[in-house]
Amino acid sequence: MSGFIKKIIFFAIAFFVFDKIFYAFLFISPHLESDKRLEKLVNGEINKEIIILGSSRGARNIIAKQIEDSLHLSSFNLSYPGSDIAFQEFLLQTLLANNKKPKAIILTLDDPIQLMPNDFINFRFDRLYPLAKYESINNEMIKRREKNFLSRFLILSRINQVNFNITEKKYSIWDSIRSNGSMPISFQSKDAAFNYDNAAQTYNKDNESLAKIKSFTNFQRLCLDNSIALHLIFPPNYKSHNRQFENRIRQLTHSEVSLFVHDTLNDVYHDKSYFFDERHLLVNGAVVFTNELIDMLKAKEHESAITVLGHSVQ
Amino acid sequence: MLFNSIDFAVFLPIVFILYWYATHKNLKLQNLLIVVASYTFYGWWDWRFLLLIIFSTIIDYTIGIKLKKEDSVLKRKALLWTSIAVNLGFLGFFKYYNFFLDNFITAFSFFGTEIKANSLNIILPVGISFYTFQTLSYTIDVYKEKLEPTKDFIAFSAFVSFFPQLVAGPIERAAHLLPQFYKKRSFDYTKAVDGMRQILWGLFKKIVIADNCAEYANQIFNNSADMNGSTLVLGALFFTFQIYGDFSGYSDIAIGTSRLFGFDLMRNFNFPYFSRDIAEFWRRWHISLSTWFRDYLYIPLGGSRGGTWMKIRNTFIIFIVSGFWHGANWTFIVWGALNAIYFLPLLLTNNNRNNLETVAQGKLFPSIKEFSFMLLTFGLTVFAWIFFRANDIGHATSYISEIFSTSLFAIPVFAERGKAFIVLVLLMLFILLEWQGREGSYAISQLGLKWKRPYRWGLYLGLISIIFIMTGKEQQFIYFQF
Repeated sequence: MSGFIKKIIFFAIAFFVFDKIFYAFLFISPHLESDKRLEKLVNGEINKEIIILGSSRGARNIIAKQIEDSLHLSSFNLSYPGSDIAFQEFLLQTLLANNKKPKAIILTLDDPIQLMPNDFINFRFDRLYPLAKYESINNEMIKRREKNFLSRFLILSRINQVNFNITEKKYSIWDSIRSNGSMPISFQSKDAAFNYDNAAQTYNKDNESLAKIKSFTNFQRLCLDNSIALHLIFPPNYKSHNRQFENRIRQLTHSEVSLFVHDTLNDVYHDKSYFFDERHLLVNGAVVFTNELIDMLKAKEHESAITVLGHSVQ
Repeated sequence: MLFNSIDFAVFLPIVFILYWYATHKNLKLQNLLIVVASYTFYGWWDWRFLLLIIFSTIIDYTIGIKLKKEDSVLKRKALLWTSIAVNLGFLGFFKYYNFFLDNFITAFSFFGTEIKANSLNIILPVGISFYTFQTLSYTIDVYKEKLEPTKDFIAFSAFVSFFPQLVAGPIERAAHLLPQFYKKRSFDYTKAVDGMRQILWGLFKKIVIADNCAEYANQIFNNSADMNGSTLVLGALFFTFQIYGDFSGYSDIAIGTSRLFGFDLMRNFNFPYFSRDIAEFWRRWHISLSTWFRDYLYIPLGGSRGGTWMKIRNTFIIFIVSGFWHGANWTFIVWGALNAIYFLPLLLTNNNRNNLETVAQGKLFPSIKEFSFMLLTFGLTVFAWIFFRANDIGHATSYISEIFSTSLFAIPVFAERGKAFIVLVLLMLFILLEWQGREGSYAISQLGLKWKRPYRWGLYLGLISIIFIMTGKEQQFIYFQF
């Protein structure tokens, strides 16, 4: 019996030593990534005044450089295609933990799947795996039960199949990241039908996920607690604006958070030549939409200046 | 608790140490510890359903003792049927209530009568089909006086709830497992080491083979309407290895774990995909269930003793009941019936016991004839699995009709084909390892035993590394739902 236990312990030690060979894969993975935004975030290199978060609608529809040039406020787009509110909450937490606090955050919303479980937007673990060498990233995966506590001690438990792909990743035509993190797109999707849907859009809150609502609430709380102005954005789709979805978001939004709906009367948003597909703008559409955002931010700045002035007069 | 979870990785060593050290090898204490550990293991999922196991244990224990005392044939029959009614009643309610309700409503509406009845939102207790059959075997054997009823309630509780095989088998016979709870157990080094190897191989099958095949099988079956014929064939193949890796992997872990505690469980799989005919396949696939149905259903129905018609009837009954045991869905019934159709020609021509020994015994390769029959049997099995995996009969038929279209010759298209290539390479490695070890009790039971320790440990480290690398989120075992 004791011989058996001794052998098990001896084997466990041998495995613990053998496991350390795989550190090479853990170390090399971040260097092979083309999208370095998350690593910069973890390393405290995203010290900007305006941060844009969201899924592909945030990445493609908002051009951070345009905002920066117009408002003279440093801006960065941290939107990840296919990411959900839980991932965006994680990005915000990481931003606040390692970087200078931004003045404002622009969060683009996904109409109507923002708060619903679905296959299109989710927590982007694939973005975390290449950076598994960072403790904060590993802790997040443990928290979300993607990994277990063994990953604190064993490299093999921490890494994934993606870490064994030792070829340098290259940008595809879909995810070329421009300066300031935005990913505008300049060609139309071949799969898009472009039939403008004029009907009144519906929304069923019964399909919502409690976990996503919680993340949405936490996201707002993080901004409010850190005195960051939060702007929730409804970007255009190639269909009529969904009022029911907007109203639902309004119900879940704190009074100090601002909501911005694109100009629904703007002809550009009825013109398919400004769209990549029914859910994303082309770069020309993104320029128009970003200008609307800039106007909104200027107006907000003006409002707050008046408020500050009002307070000082009182 | 799942075998492939971190919870079990912590639970097992604790129970192991307590079992061999804290109980001072006292049989009563060891059995009591097994009961407590088994209830903890099961309650980890949902403690409320422990009451079902406890109730079933009390009923069968009491009936067993009463059967021994009772001489009246009528009263003995009444006791037996009480046990069967209680056990199958629970199983029927939790597993089949909604199925029968829905089918009655459909049948009546076919004749123009509309019935309004609400189906219930019933949670299926994990492993209910397994422990129900295990306890039934006890009562039936005691009734038939093949087995002495036990007076040791703790030993009987341990037999019903023994955690390694509680939720997905092997479905043990009381005559085989129960006496092991009466005998003093001492630690056997060779047995324990062999148990560890079998656990390792079971984890490899589950995590590396089954879970990775599941990713593609699910993707293809869930989107089968958009897939071409060749992709659907690949989907069926992925599912074929998923279900084998999943279920036989579970059995390996169960058998290996039992050996750590000094128990021997019956073999549940014997390299079924190397079978040369369907009869051989059913002697090698889910052996504990096949033999249960043989002993407690097929033989009592008359087995093969009657005329041709009797043989056909009994064969169809056990295959269809076996299919229905898997779940309340017509797909399982069709799967069972299809296997009966495969089996029937062999039975009627008295060729159902031709291939009793291992294929190509003592040889490296099979003969061309053996290989051809293996391939044919494998093909028939893959085809039947489509019904098993499909959501409903319509899904299965559309899946099959797309396979038999010109798109069968198109290039397979599905997401993450690069990773699928790695899985296919691992599948090839898996088949090779299974082939070389087909004469043992599991694929690596003999592999490397004569190697020097560094090489042998190298093999284990390699397998463990692949398990870690290929692991994803903890996946449930398919057979938990049955």
